[in-house]
Amino acid sequence: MSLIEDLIEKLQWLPGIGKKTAQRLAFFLQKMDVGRIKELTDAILKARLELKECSICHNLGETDPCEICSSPNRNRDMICVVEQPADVMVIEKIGEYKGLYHILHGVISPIDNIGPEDLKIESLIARVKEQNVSEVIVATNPTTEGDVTALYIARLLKPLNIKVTRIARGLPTGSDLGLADTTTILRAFEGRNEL
Amino acid sequence: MILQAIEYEGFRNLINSRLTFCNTLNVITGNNGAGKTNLLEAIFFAAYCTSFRTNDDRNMVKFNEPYMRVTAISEDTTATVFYNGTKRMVINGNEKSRLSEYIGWLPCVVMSFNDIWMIKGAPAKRRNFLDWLLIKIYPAYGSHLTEYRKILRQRNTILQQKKYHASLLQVYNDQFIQHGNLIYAHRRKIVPILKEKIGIVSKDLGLDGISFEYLSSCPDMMITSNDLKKVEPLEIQRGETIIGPHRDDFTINIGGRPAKQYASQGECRILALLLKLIEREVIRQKMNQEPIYLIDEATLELDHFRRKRFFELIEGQIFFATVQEFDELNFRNKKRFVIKEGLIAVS
Ligand SMILES: Nc1ncnc2c1ncn2[C@@H]1O[C@H](COP(=O)(O)OP(=O)(O)OP(=O)(O)O)[C@@H](O)[C@H]1O
Ligand SMILES: [Mg+2]
Ligand SMILES: [Zn+2]
Repeated sequence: MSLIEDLIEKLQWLPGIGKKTAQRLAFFLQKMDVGRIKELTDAILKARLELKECSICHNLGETDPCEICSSPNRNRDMICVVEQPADVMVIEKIGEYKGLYHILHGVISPIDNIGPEDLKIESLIARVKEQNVSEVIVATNPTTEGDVTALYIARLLKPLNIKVTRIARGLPTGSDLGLADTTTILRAFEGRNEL
Repeated sequence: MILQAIEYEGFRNLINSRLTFCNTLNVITGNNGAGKTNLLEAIFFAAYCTSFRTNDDRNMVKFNEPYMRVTAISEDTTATVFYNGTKRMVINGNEKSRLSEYIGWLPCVVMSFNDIWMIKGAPAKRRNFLDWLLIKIYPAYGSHLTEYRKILRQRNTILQQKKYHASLLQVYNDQFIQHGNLIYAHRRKIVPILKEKIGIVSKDLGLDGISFEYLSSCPDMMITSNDLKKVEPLEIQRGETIIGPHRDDFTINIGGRPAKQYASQGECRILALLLKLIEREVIRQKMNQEPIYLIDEATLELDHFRRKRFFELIEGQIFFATVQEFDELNFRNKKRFVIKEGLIAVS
């Protein structure tokens, strides 16, 4: 296999990169400044080796427990449940929410072979039982899968007598938290409903 | 509604062009494979952003072309649908992000030779008729239907699992009931209107004793948790959801007997047209508009009297595709188009 073919094949290991894009990237990289390439590969390697999954909330960070979980300034009786670490970044950028997070790393979707056991749901329940949590806000995306995941979590938390809320449907159906603007997300948080 | 002109690029075998139409009858003639159906499809695509004969938009892009575009123009609207893998919709310069914000501007009734399968074929064909009618008058119904189908697929997957997840199934049951009943709520609104209109329109066509009957898999066109509980063991055994709007059907009866079992070929054809004429009545009533008519060889196999009567009944703008023009079309103003290998000329 030629060097370029090898690179094209390896780039396709990444999600969302097909053959066409891989080719484009390969030829781009081939012309790129060597120093920049080193910066890029170093950043990838460093992120892989040094980013840790927080054993409490499953967010990715440089420490375990993560910065948010170990901060004395966060409100410990609220947990906001999101699908992905990227969602935490979106909400943190707004800076209004002061509670803790829990990252599921996905949503329930039987057709994609993702059941509750494949997500960080069990650890959420354990956390809620241990900690003195007064409210769990489920901020999964407003898709059918996001809704089902929220309702499933609510079912599990019901017997524990915990207030479970779902962010309001201010976000358009089928959309993604990361695509919404600040005011929309704020309004979705403020208008959350009990499940 | 009158479609004044259409412009298309990269659409099927049609050579890029712009056509202007007349307000009454537009006759499109050409040999088999010339592109007649493609032109009707392009008009429908400008109205509903989808095809009436394929589920895959890519099929409509001309072979070896990167994109397609159709722009349709009425008196007060210019609407464009563009597709190159993703779709973009623009109405009067405003980009629309949702299908339900776009569709509805140009109500169409399609009458095709294949409509006979609504009478003779499987229940899916009839559900498709009802669903499309509902999308046309309540554009948001389309997204309700998509959501419903998604929940259904997820629920079926759980039912198929060897060790099915009982508490997750509960959540899906609730969602299934909620989304299914939303579909039912829409269908319940339309059924009485269909029943009423079928009596009137069938008399206009010279038919007697025709009735419409909705066959629901759930009592009173409503899913209850009780009904679902009752069938659950059977559903787990079969690995699929056996009640709900996706299992329903309707029948057209002649003298109380289902046409599917008894009607002749020609009778089936006229009943198929009857359904489309009812669709027209519903659109007129609900949207306060005359739809345009895309007719693709739908009147073949009709006797002379019925065919003449049929064209007299339709008052709106017609796009009629046919291999051969015939005498019954001579009674009104018309513009004639001849199509040859995708190239359309006014004749
Ligand atoms: N994506 C495409 N690109 C180019 N040509 C296509 C494409 N899809 C279909 N065609 C061609 O378009 C031609 C015309 O199709 P169309 O169905 O419009 O014919 P028609 O005039 O309605 O014929 P008939 O009288 O048989 O119904 C077909 O020969 C088909 O091969
Ligand atoms: Mg044809
Ligand atoms: Zn943490």
